Formats: sequence, structure tokens, C-alpha cells
Amino acid sequence: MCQTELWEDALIELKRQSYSPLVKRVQAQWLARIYLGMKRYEAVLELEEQARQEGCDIQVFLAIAHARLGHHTTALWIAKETVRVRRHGAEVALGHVYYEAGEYEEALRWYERAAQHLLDRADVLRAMGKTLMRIGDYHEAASMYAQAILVTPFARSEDLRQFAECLRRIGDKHAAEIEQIAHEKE
Amino acid sequence: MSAKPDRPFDHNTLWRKFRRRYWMHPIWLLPWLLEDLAFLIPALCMVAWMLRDAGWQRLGDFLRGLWLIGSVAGLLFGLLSLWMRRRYSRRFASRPLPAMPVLPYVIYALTAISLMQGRIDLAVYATFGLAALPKLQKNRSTALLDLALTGAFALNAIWAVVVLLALRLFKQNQQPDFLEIIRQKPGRMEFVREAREQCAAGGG
Repeated sequence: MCQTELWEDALIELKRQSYSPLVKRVQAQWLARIYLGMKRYEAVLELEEQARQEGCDIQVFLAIAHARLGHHTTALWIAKETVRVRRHGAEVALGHVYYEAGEYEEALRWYERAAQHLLDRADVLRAMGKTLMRIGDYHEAASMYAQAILVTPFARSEDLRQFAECLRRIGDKHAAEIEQIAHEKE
Repeated sequence: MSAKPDRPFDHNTLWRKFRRRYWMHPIWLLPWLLEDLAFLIPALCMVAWMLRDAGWQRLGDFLRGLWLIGSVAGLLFGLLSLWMRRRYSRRFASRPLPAMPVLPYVIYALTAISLMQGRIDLAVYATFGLAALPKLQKNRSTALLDLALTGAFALNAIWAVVVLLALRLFKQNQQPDFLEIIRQKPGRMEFVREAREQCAAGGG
């Protein structure tokens, strides 16, 4: 559910399985991930206490939530700390923090470093595409979106649209065709 | 872990572009390299064997050793993955063993036995002839090239073999049409439905 970004369904599924001690142990982490997907950043921050009580680490999600809410100093401090203690997803979180602060070159460096890992590669490639679009390098952004499209097991229409936009900016003739496929796969 | 990720190259430098293209790490080049090696070793061994010259023979013997190691490794990997799937996938374990997915491992076994006996001709028939059969359905042009290659080898037509091997290598490295790949991918809801069906069947 999280992979396909069906956040409402993911939340229902998580609540359905919350009786399991295994799920309970990492529930705060999943909730944080889902709330981030739903853009409920305040709700992510509210999970901090619950996570602490359950011994569950959600620092990476907290850093992203703070960054999206504009608390750049706090976000940067948390994200750097997660990188220091080598939390999973820390590098991409720091990339997000820099992105939200408008430091796109720095964000890109951290995304590149995060993409060396096998997990969540599509998300990182997508983030790189978005950052490169902000920098104005549509050629490179198109290449990142193309890779994200290839590694995602389904045709994600948002990626196809962004890819088409990059192609349009660089004057590629396939832009309209990709847009059409995005529409069909919606 | 340092506070700064990397040396401050501009995002547009060749190195950064290369890194982004090739999965950010040279390790991602390995599958492509292995795929080409898995083709080139038998191909060169085949040509060396056909030339029947003392110098080429030595190269052929060396390549035969590499080919044997590759075949045994492929066979062991195949047996391990089959065992794992039968052990851990309920859906897979409840069905009889399908012939087509098992065929590559049979080919590895036949190739390994042929090479151990020094029969490079039989190894070529197994690797290129038998291996063409499963490709006939989905990858007809490659299958036809493999069959033509086997025919040229049987007729001892060395120049035809060299040309066909070059064509085959080119075909192997040809990039598939990107638009076609996207079209063949399921949409989000279709993907979720398929995943749910797999879970319901016990294979997810």
C-alpha cells in the first residue's frame, strides 16, 4: 500500500493489523511514513512521544516533517544526527531537508549518496529528478525520471507527467506520447 | 560518516552524471558485465575450438575452464533458488515443477558435463541450440540467431559463426524501446489488484 502510495488504504490496513505485537513494535514508524505521504506533518510530530514510549525510532520522519513545516534549523539538526548515527533513510531525509531549505545542490549530493543503497531507490531517483528540475537541468532530470519509471514496478502517472514535462522543456518529440500514456495509466 | 557527502563537484560534471546514470555505484555495472561475459566466454571458446590451431587451442582450454566454472555456478545457483522457492513459497510448492523455468539449469548441467569430457561441440549445442527453445515464444529474433549460430557451427562455417556471434552480441546489448516498457507496465490500481491476488493465492 505504501509502495503504491494508497495512504488511506495503508492506514486502514495498519490499524487492522495493529493487534500483532510485531506490528505494534514498529507502528509509530509506519504511521509516520503514512502521515508523511498524506502530508499530515503535524500528525507526524505528534507521534514523537508515542514512538519514544514504544522504543521506536522515527527521527528520519520527524526531520522531513519539520522541514516541510518550515522548521529548517530543527529539521537540519535532527537529520544530521540521524546521518551521524547511520539511521536507515537518513541521507535521503537530509536531502529533503536541504531541498525544503532551497539548497538544491546540497540536496542533490545527499540524494546521490542515498541512491547508492538498494532500498527505496525509486523514491530517491524521483527526488533527484525533482531537484534537478528546480536547478533547471531538465536533461538530467529526464534521465532521473526515466530511471525511476524503470525501477518502479507499475507505471506511476505522476512520474510519467514529470518526465513528459522535462522532455517538453528540452524539446523532445516524445513528450506528448508520454503524457498520453500517463493519462491512460491513471 | 562525514558531515559533507562528497567532494564539491558541480552537479553537471561528467563524474556526477556517470554516477547518476549507472545507479550511483559501479557495482550496478556488474550485471551487464556478467551478462556479456556469460556470452563472450562460450563464444570465444567456440571460435578457438573451430580454428584447431595450437595457440588458439591453449586459449580454448583456458576459456573452457572459465565456461565450466560459469556453468557449475549457474547450476548451483539454479538448484538453490528452486529449493528456496519450493521451501518458502506455498504457491510454488503446491504445483508440479514447470519445464520451461527449469530448462536453463538442465542446460547448465549438460554444458558442464560436456565440458568436463572435453566435448566443446556438445556444450555449444546445449548452450546455443537448446537454450534457443524457450526464447522462441518471447524473443524470437534472438532464438533464430542462436539456431542459425548452431547450424553454422555444425557446418564448420567459421566466418558465418563470427558474423552471427557479433550480431548476437549487438542484439544482446540493444536497449529495449522505453515507450514499450512503460506501456507494458500495469497501472497503479492494476498492480495493487495483482498483488492482492498473489497474496490471496499464498505467494505474496
